[in-house]
Amino acid sequence: MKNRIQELRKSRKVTQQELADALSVTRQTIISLENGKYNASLTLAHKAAQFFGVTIEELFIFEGEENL
Amino acid sequence: MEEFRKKLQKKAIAAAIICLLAPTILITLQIITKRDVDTFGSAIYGAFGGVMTVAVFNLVRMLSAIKSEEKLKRLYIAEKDERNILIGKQTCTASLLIVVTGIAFAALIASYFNITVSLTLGAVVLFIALVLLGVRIYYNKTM
Repeated sequence: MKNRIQELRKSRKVTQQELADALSVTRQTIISLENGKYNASLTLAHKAAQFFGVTIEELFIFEGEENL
Repeated sequence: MEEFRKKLQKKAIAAAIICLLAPTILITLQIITKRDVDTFGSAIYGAFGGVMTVAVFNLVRMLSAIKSEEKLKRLYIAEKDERNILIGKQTCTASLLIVVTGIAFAALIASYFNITVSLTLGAVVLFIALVLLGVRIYYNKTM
């Protein structure tokens, strides 16, 4: 699943550590999310969407058949 | 965060008891039995020393986190981070699979040399399988 976390984070001049602190996760999780190596849970997706002030659908792009 | 601090305090107390009790028991047993420390014994003591060092290091880390708000937050995030939790679960699953497969293979190979060893290893595999089944049933019912 693709996401716009890096794009939104950079546009708002937020560092990975600041975002990690705001979402109560490690910086490594943010890096993995931005690289598309890790899919966020519903809770984290909700928190991230709230942080950026967008909907989950705007932040995460579901691309059809994926491992669920 | 206060709940996590209390949980950490309990963990630190348990770790401190283990850190004090384990070497005391080992030293007492050594004094009572007066067993010769051969190469195997030295290896066991060495491994025990390593485990104790890690345990003491963890204890110090927990104690410093209890005192410092910043360190407590860092530890909370590290422990509750969903990716770390997932990695832990995947590690356990993969390790269990590798260990069980390894023991099953060892049981098979041992059957050509020593039937007692083979049966013991087979019993270990059976026991792990039963525990796995029990835990799976439990989580299927509770989740």
